[in-house]
Amino acid sequence: MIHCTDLSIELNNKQLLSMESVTFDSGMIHIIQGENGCGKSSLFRSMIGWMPFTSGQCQILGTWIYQPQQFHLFAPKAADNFTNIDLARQMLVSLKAESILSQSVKRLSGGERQKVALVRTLCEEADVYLLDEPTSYMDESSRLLAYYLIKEQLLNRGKTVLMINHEMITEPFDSGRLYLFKDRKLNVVKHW
Amino acid sequence: MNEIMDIILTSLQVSLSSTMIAAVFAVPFGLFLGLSTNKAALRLRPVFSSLAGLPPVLAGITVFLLLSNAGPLGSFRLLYSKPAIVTAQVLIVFPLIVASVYPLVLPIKAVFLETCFGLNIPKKKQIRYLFSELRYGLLAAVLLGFGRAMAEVGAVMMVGGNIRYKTRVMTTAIVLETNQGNYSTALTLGIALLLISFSINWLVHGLFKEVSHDPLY
Repeated sequence: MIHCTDLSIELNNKQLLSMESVTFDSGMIHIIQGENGCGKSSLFRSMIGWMPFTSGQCQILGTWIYQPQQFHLFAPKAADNFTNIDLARQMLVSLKAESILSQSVKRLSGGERQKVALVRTLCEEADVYLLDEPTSYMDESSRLLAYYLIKEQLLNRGKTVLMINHEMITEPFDSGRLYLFKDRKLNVVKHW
Repeated sequence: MNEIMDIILTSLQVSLSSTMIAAVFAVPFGLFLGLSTNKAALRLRPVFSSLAGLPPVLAGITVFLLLSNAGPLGSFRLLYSKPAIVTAQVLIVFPLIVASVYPLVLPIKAVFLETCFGLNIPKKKQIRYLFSELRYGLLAAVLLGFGRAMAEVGAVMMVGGNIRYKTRVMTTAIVLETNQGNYSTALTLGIALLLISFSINWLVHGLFKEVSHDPLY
């Protein structure tokens, strides 16, 4: 669970967001949407302590893992990114991408890089997962497979998932909330 | 022929020693300068870039004054010895390696650190990943330093004294043989120096070629 109170974030003297109390409940997915540059990624960065708040506080109960929108893949091979290679292989099979395991990370396409990064994140054990646009470069069928993988590996095991995503998709997930960033506020637009 | 071999071996011995010593300190320091965001580090970056292009005779005269009989380290009697040459070469090579290493970190720094932070990767493991990531660039920086040490004349002449079978290296020998009119010996040494330098450059270009072929660099 994540609980944020009176959170305010500024970037380059410009107020990005100002929100009252919000709680991201555990065991469900929280999908956050909003226009480019509205402060979605900054919210995630502030939550984990990578970027300071201007005011307010945010508490993550339990351990967390965060996948940034722009991530780094460790070289030389895709396999070098995983601590548990068997689990990673199993997940890549689910994404129909097991062949990329032996490939050089420098030769991977944008979508393939995201598959490696997502599987790397999912392989790590934590209570809360913050995923910043984890499927934006994937093709439609791969995106769907990725959503089902997130459901199977995280949500079915009671983990909390916060995901920034521009795609309005709720079907793969049994329960969750859809938030929209507008006028520097975070509003729940759908609860299922 | 024995003398030429001795000169070549002396050159390789002092240049390898100075490059290794400089690299042991310059590579971690260069990585620190690249990764650090504090103001002192930001100010030091252009200082090392400038020092990389400093006239080597300045390093020569510094070491000469330190090691001369009247100098603070005169009692060690190191002037006109191989350690004196190594010391001068370290002073020349160190800033060159630092200035070549820190720019390697800058393009990947933000994304690399944010990824490591997000995955809760311990500092030691981050450093291991960084070395693996930058290995071609780091090796190229060290080879650049070795090439610079091999090519040095002025500082080596000042602190080494160009003593036969002791501190005579390829560059100082070429100057001496040319001044004495022994052009064939000077030319033989010149060709040997050229071959060694060519081999080093070939290696560096080979490594950079691998990186430049990379579509994501």
